[in-house]
Amino acid sequence: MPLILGIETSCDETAAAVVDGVHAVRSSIVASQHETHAPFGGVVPELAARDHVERIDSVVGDALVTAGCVPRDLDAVAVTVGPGLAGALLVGVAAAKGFALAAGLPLVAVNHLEAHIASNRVEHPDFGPPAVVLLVSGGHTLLARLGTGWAIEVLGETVDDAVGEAYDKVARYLGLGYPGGPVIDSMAGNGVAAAFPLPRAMLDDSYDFSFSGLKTAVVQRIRRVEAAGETVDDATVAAGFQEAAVDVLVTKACQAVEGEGVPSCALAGGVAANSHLRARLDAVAAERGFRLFVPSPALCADNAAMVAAAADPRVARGDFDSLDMAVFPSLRLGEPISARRRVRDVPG
Amino acid sequence: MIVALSTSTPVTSVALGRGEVMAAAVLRRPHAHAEFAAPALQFLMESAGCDVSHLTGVAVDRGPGLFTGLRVGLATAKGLALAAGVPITVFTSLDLMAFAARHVRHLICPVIDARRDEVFWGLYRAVPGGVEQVEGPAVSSPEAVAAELIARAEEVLLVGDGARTYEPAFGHLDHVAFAGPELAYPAAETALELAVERFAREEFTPPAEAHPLYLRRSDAEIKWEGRRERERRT
Ligand SMILES: [Zn+2]
Repeated sequence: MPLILGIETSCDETAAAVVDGVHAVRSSIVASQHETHAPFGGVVPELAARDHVERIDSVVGDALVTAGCVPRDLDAVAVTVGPGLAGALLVGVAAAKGFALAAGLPLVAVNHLEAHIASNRVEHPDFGPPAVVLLVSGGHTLLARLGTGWAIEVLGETVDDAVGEAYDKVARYLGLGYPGGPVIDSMAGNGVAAAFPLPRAMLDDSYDFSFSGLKTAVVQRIRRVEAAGETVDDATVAAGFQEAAVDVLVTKACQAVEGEGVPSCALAGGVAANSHLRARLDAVAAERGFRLFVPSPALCADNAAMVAAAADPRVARGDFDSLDMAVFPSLRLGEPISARRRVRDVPG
Repeated sequence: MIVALSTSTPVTSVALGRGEVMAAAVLRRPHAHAEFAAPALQFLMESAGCDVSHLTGVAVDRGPGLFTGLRVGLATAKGLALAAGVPITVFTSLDLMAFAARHVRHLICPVIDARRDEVFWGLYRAVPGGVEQVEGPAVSSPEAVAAELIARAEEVLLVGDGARTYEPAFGHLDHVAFAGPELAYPAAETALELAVERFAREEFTPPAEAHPLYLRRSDAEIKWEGRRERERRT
């Protein structure tokens, strides 16, 4: 099996991993920047890039040591080239190029969204097409169909905010800190969703999503409750919000599985670690008789094991990229990297 | 074999050599650091007949300069050093520019355009075998640098693109001369020349210190500080 070093710096995690073939993760190191960005209530691109360059060598070094290997044991270096923050992507890509050059290794450019989907392959050797994928994170919310030869067709996506963004906005409004996903998820367990009902934006007849109205709906409902002289606790709001957000995701995912006539559905992305989403999808999959694939929480958040795993088929067939490859901040799911206009360094 | 990179300005400069420079490449095109540096080094190694297994150290310019450029240079250097298991040594962009201009009797003042009507600068004096830093590195308005030069009342050689960009601030000073365009940007060859001596003395930069020299906080931090200041006052 090819031994691949993966490097990931597209957003606010500096990550490196060594993967032996697709199914054996020898090491996966993730240095989170949440503390850096927390005071700002969201990721600050310049600070993300600054953190990445300070940590990249120790993170990659740790991944090698933990895997018990040296550079000459490796077969390739895989690195995320997009989508993501340009300045952040450039750090990982530059480090990957330097490493590949000095170790005499080939490079593979990886689409971050395809890496999230590949995270399912790491733990589930039987995962494969045809399937529907629900990819949910702070930056993306989309449904895609995996066809023959892992061909990707985007069925629908958010027309405004990503679902993770909605979590962050509501958490910020409630003063719960950043990132909002985990804190709302754990709080919601202590609340009753039915006590705080919210509308669902279903956008009928399409697989698209809309989450920008959800925070406004939360704010308006809190004001209405307070105007009536009553109070509502954060746990109730969290439960009502989470129920509304997850309901839309689960409903659309089921429609896609049935509409596309596929036997399975895979969850991917940072929000795939959400306990309520996992539980609801699990229940509905059992009820409707389709197979559900879910990565373990560590593989849902940004990591480099998924990047190395996504590169595995290309390493196996010797399909590599050259040292002059660029970064692609707005790369789309399924988009061929070579077809994209090259984006050079960002000014600054 | 030592490999050297400078990516702190719109120029990407790479070089390699042993005791002296064997091969070098320069690209003057903005925003091309990440695309040019690694393939250029690969081409130089092949052309010079140097195998990566001969790599003994990496020298890199840590700024001040373009933030993205600095990070590309340092990240590339870190990748190279890590894969080859060799040490890194860092220089400031101003050190490199001053060293390249050391054959003058004057004070040497490297000036890099920092945008927003500011410059990164320092003051150096030629000493036997090199230069000695007497001021900086700092970020200031060109007018503040000019005032510092007037106060010193010494002959000064201004070096770098920042000196030309902000010529109105410096042009009227009668004890100031402008260096030619060949010294306008820091060069990887200079880093290599300096690194040869450092590596011979086994002086390396600990990985924890091989970071960019920004001299300026991010906009988000500046805004956030401003907000906290205002909140404190009210
Ligand atoms: Zn992600």
